[in-house]
Amino acid sequence: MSLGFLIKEGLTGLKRAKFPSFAAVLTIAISLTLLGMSYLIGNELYSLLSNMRAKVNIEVFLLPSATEIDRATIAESLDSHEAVAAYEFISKEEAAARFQEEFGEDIYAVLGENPLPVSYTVDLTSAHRTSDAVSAFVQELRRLPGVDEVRYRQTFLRLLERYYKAALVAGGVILAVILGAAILLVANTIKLSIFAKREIIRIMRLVGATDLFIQTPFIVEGIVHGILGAGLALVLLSGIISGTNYLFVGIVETDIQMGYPLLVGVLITGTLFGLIGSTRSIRMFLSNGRM
Amino acid sequence: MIYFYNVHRDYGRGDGVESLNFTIYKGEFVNIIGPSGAGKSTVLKLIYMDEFPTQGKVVVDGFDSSMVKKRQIPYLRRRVGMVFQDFQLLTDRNVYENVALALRVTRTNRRVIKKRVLQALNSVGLGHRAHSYPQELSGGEQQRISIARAVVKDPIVLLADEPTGNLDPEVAREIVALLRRIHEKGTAVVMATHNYGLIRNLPFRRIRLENGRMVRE
Repeated sequence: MSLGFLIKEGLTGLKRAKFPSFAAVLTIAISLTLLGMSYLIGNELYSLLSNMRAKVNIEVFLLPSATEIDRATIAESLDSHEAVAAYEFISKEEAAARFQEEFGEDIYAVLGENPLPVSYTVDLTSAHRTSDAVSAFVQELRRLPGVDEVRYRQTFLRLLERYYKAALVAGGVILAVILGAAILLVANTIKLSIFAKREIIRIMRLVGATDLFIQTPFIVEGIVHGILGAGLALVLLSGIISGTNYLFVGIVETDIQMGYPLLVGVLITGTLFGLIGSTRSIRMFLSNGRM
Repeated sequence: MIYFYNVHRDYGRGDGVESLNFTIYKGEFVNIIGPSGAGKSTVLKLIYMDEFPTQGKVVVDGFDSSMVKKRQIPYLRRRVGMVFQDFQLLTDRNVYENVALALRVTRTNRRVIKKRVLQALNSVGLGHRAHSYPQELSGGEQQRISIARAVVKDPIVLLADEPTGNLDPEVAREIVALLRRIHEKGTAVVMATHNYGLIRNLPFRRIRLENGRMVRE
């Protein structure tokens, strides 16, 4: 019989202590909303940086004296190298066409000849977009026969990496602070809701209830607080997401989505908040109380 | 059944009890009397192990205060019924649920709970108030409910701490009569009171306390 009674006790506990319950749900909801927002901001920042990194490519210019064999050797190296996602061969004529496209001038008309070298444009796999990996790869390319010069945006890539690391550290610190504050707040609010029921705990102890029996309804209640808080946080977050998308439409390219990781993450974190907060608080209360 | 072996309980404030040696036998009715602050409630708390001796030991139905573990105390309390001056009823649930709580914590079957709760309520004359809430009842009725909650689990002893303290004399006598009926059915009763007039004519043993010491048995 007992489990049914204990679950029912936990659920009616919500009704019996309406204000502390409401405070616990609200605290969990606000904490989760802040955590969710940090996640969303972090995610947007990450995809922005990833997009910028994806634009980093390598240009390999060949010597005018490079032979067909040299080219074949270079193509073979690019084909087999793990850092290469794709590459493109750019002939002298193609280079001239691009020059015209970029500068609006016909190179033949300006110089009377086409001095532009033959080249390869190399896109990198995402794992090799770090400055160290690029630099090592570039050294390899420079040693190949027929290669005159290898260029990439070294300073840009290093700057991007520095910002990325700083953002990661700042994000981690902010997340840890919010998480710590949230756990403290939730534990305190649950403590209050337990304190509001000290009378029933005392009487249960008087009539011979074990600690496990006393704890269970509070833990059930804590889990329900967590789930309700998570639900409310998801409503708030989807409002914030819609609002942000609406405000920034046409200003910057943005289409923030709720996504399963956030949805599931908020639900699990909320449930854990309620579970851990209530278990810890009720255990502390029971071990301090004498009756 | 209940043994006090040279029991001291010192609160460090000059109060508490000292050098208590006595035995309460199965099915006995014992009155603990003495003025306020004499240590009557402390004696009861030592029996239901809400307090522990600072010296000596208390043994209740095989539970030894010097060896008992915290997790064993609920099982002792299931063998001991308790009644207080302020009734200690839960106002957010009805009479039936208040009494049933004492059995629910022991994980008794629901049908058995129903039968025993109704029997207990009838035995205190309040079978018809099962669905009322404590605040709808008079003080005397509330104390009867708390007695029903204490006896529903069929304890070996009923501890009553100033059970008539909040009641007028007529109702107080009814409560004492009810406790006597419970005793006649075989349950030991230990009643602490400062109201000597109430128990003067009862044919039961008295333990008199003054300043935490037994002055006469």
